[in-house]
Amino acid sequence: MAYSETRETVPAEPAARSETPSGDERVPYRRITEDILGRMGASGRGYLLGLGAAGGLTLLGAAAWGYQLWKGMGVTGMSHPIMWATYITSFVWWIGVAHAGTFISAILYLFRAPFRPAFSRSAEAMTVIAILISSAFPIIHLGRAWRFYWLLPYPNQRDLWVTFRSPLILDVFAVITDLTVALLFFWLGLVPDLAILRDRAKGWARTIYGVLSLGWEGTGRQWKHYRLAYSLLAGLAVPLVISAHSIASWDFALTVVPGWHSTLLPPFFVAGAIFSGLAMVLTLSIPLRAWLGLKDQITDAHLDWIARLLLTLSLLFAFFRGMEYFMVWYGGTEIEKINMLYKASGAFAPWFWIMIVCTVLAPLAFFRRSVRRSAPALLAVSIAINTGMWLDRFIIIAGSLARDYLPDAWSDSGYRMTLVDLGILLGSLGFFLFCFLLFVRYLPVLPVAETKREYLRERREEEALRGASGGG
Amino acid sequence: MNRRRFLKVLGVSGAVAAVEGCSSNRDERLIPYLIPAEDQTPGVSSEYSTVCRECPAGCGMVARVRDGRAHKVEGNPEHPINRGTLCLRGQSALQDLYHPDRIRQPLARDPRGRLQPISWEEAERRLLDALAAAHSGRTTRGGRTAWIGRLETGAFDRLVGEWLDAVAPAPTRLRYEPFAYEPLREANARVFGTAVVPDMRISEARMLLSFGADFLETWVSNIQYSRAFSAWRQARVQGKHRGRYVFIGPRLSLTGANADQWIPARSGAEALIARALTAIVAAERGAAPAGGGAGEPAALAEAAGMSVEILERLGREFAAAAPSLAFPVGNAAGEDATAANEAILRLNLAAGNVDRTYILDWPHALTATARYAEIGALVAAMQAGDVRLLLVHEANPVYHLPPVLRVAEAIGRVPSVVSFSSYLDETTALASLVLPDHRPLESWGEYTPRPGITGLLQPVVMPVFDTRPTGDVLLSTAARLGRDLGAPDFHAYMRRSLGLDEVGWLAAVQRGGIFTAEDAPALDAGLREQAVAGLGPDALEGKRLASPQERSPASSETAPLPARKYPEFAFPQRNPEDAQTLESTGAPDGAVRLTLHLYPSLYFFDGRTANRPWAQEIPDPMAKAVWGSWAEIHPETARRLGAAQDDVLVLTTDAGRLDVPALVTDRVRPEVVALQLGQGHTHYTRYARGTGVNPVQLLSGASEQPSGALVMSGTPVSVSRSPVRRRLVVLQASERLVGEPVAREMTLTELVQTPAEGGAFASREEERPSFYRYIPEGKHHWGMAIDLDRCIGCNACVAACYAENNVPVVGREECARGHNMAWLRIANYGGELSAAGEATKEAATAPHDIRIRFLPMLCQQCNNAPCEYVCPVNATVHSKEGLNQMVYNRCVGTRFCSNNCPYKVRRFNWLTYEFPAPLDQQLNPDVIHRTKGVMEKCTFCIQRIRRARIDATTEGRPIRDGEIMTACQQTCPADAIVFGDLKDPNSRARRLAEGPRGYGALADLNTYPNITYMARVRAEEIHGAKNG
Repeated sequence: MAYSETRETVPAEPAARSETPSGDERVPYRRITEDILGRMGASGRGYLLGLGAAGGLTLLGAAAWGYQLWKGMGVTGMSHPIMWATYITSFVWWIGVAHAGTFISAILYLFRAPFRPAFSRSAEAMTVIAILISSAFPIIHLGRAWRFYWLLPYPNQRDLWVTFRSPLILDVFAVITDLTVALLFFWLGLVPDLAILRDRAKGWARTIYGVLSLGWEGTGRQWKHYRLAYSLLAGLAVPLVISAHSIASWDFALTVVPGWHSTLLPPFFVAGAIFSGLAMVLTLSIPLRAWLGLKDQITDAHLDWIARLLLTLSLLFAFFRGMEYFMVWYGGTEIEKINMLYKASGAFAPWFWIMIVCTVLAPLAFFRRSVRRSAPALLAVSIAINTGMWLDRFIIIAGSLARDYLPDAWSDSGYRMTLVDLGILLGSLGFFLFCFLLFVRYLPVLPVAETKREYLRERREEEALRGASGGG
Repeated sequence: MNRRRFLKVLGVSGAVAAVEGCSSNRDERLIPYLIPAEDQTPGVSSEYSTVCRECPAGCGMVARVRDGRAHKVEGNPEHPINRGTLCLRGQSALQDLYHPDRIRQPLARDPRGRLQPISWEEAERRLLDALAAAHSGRTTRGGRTAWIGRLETGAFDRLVGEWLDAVAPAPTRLRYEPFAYEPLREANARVFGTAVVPDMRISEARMLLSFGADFLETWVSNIQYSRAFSAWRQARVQGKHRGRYVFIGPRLSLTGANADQWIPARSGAEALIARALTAIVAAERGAAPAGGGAGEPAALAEAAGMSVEILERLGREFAAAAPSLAFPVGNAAGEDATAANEAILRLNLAAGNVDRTYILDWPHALTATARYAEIGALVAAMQAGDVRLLLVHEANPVYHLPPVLRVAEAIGRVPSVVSFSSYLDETTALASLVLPDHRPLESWGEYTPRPGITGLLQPVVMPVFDTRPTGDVLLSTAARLGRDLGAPDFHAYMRRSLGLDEVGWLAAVQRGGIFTAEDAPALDAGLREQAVAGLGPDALEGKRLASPQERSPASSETAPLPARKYPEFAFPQRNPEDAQTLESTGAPDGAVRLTLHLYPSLYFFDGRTANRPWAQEIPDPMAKAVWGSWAEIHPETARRLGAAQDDVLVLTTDAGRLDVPALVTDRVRPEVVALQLGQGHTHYTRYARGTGVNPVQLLSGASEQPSGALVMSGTPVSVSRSPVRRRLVVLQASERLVGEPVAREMTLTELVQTPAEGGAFASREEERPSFYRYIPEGKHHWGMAIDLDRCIGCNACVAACYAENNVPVVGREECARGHNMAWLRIANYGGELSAAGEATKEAATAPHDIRIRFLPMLCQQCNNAPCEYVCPVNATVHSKEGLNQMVYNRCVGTRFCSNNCPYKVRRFNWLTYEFPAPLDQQLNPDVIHRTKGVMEKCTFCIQRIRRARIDATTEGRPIRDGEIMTACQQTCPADAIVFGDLKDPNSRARRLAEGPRGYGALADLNTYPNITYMARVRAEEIHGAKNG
């Protein structure tokens, strides 16, 4: 990791800080725009290398998928009875990651969380990319992927319709809704910034930014409508945080499979999704902060806030996990007990215990303030959470399938990942990184207007405090 | 015989005309006819009766032929042996016909020693040359020509004899079957003066005892006995008797798994146990022990390593249940098999079973098979260079006989070896000339397994390859040598030999044979005389029942073929010291000395069906393993060896060494290591070659006295663990019974206490509350009743399903990856006899009540199907007649349906699976061949439902109950599966489903399955009570 806590990494006008009248170490208000926009257009050997590596991984994934399409699903590690494994796991995991974006965009916005602007833009970008990837996985997963459009209820000559009772169809709607809202949110948030970029750009870039900025001029009337639209959209998106991942959990909860068939699953999945998504935000923000020198915009205090949220969510998650086991015991169904014990002691046991360490034990470190304030520690724990959450999904999905009702059809040796599964999984990570690097280059990673507003709000509060103490 | 002539012959047989189609020059036409034959309707299968020749049982078979291609074989309902049913081996006859590795034309060695294709003209010339060469020179000494062929009866048998006599002076001829029942024949000869393979009348027995005879698998006539056994169990459930079935032996076979109790007796203790039982039975019945083997039961029991109390209870029960029936020892018997069989016969005598359940005068054709001593004599002659020409027809002695006999080397000393084999098997690989015979489905022929039952074979398709019937070759070569054997070709020869007029012939061919004896009981005295006479004087010398105590000194001379006087073959003698030899000759460290127990395979018989992909791919009924061999050891032994499942064990005897993965099971005694026969071919097609091991490599070749049979079991073997692991592909993960088990059983007492109405298991639809009515709205409601009490776990239905529904064979690697495609599997539950912790030696040798239940698991066609609502694209939907229908071309392959199927009966096409040509010609044209990426599953043979509906509509009548038979039901020898309309209150399926034993599998999940299982019934031992 290139990041180093000790290194001073704000290249843009270090002298600026001394100019601040209040002795405050922050970038002055008038320079915020320059500070943020100046970090765009990343290039150079390191960037291109990263972009190339991410692109290479993407191509590897594409090649693996091509091979799978050509030969059939037999090239993956899936088998009877573990018919779902890494692809559906990745689908659920990516859509969970995406959820944090919506959570930050909508819920934190409505609650006016002070640390929101520091993360909102990159979280929203992450959301859009993650939803794109997660929507690809169910298609990759299809035995006949070239027929994926049959999952859409389009009018056709044969009067064939989809099964609206199927959780997978609900998924289709959930993912499409998610993608639409995430894109709108991302775009709407970008509009004022895009207008600034338009004003500064020349040539074809100006045209593109111009079209995307929707004729934004920054008038009071526009701002008034903009704020209203943004709040409304945030309000509309709130149910999505709950619904989309609940629906993803129905893929499992609505079945009769032991280990899946549980009313606990929707809240469990939603909590897990936000948990893994916020961890992903940290995983992205900390290197980004180091790389682009955004320490002033993404402060340690901001990171502390996210860590506290993560700690809360991890406790919630641990509670749900405990409830899952309690229900298995309390329900008294023998097959559920076998299923649960198998996941903790059978072929999936190593993954199970790694998952427990990563998702339940590791976040407990956040009880210590020093850990919450240490970027490397935060990064390590957030990566652990991401890994753990992927494994959690994997164990629920593949592990539960290994122990179904009929013992004669139990899985003998669990699931063995092949190079194709692995290639596609790595490809998805590569594609995510590739898109994110493009985002960093072409769009501002922090919302200019929001940051300014937050700056002003803080300043007002400080002044109010100062005024109050002065008056007293 | 040219093609024109062939067609002429067919034309004469009119109604049974075989069809033109796959001619030998490999036309690949979708519609094979230019001008269709008159009796052929495109799209409708014709049925031709023939005979299954996969083992000596000789079941009747019907081949379904569509557009010139045989796509299914089924049992012939007219045939008294099997009555329409067929086992897995019989089902696989199609894969024999269309095997991709068949020899496609005659072959001969070129100067460099390689087999090269030649023409038939050339081939017959070379055969004549070989004959001439064998008998040229100064000497006129006989015995220079030898024929080894499988057991044949009737015309072909006679033709071989006449031909040999015509072309060779004093030839040797062996009817060679690896399982020749020598100890049984010898024991019958010693006790009754008649060296026959007898019949067992299970139906009348009130108690069954088997000392190892696997009569449901490979023993004499497995389908005949499976049918009888299933009917016997049915009678028990119906309250007609309370007979128990007890299995005695060191290993629990499939036949044993169908017993009520297993007494894990030490290998070789059968004689002692039988003698002890005889003494007890005789005492019970107030008679003196019936000669020989008398002794104090307590002493005998102790010698047998059993508690005398168990034996006394068993003996009293056996005596009380008159008539009872004790089966002899198994096929791969040990050193004192004759003594054991003799003791068992005396036990039957003492219990008054002879002529009631133990039928001597309906002998099996196996009575006429060659003895091991004769084979040994021939091998010695070959080794001595006395044999100049060896003719091999449907026999593979190089594979079957222990390598220590050096059969291959002996054959190597024969200048001309002519094989008529269709495959390059171990023996044919040594041949100098290969004249491939037609396969049975391409041939004329006849086979008489028992007097009064003569099955007729007719060609059902045109020859697939450029092969020629051996009968024709023999007649043609004889004619060229100027010997007229009375017929131009074998078809004419056979007709003449059968002596039927035109009408009788047509009727016989159409019916599939001449059946004057339905079953042994139906034989009246006159008919029996006639039937026995019909078998030929050679087969049944001394057929009259001698008085039991009388021994016929001539009885061992029943071998019908004149034995050549060769120098005595020095059989390897078992060295009594070899226990020490083994240890001294460096048996590996940590080795454990065990007793070898070999057993024939239900699927491969003696190894002859190991080339069938279905036999390899369908899991063994007990081990559930596919594509390989394994050594069964007890957990206790495994602990001593430090070995676990899949650890390769090294088995060493003086004769050889085998490396084979371990299968740890408590179904063998701790001192026994059990191996299956039939695998481990070094040749014999891509499917058999290199698959598993051939345990005859461990045999010393010693013969059992006094019968002279090859000793196959009970000999010492040194076993050690090698550091290597080789994964045995086992397709069933667990036999555990979870919760309220899906495979249920009850005791006979519980059954008696259950009211006939309502049933023992409260799982009826009306008892569970629901908003919905899950009764199909259509005219019919298809359902099935599966009787677990009848199911013997033989997996014949699985093979039938593979054949009927074009289920692909995926091979070992894909099976190991969990990609097996079977639509129907026979799960094996409750097989763990003792809990893991208590697999001690004491527990392992105590009698076990057998709780094993075979559960045929197929799509339950749920009326509230979990698979249907999760499919996003409506690819699996419910029909108005209750069928859960899979729409292949709508499926996109989410596999959600499989996840949500609690029965796990759905299969996914992971890859594109191939049917190597010409195996693809077997594919059923009524059933779609699925492509990669779609889900598939049991359809209740919807194509058969459609066919019945079309027929009924055409004839303007409703579909009759029993008219539709699914493929699995059709072939089931135990009649365990009944398909029918559940809306018809009188349908058999409905009546069975409403019986007291019915329950729905996992019905508490509210799936409303259309299959009703009927619980297995176990008969308990009743102390002091009289059975019957």
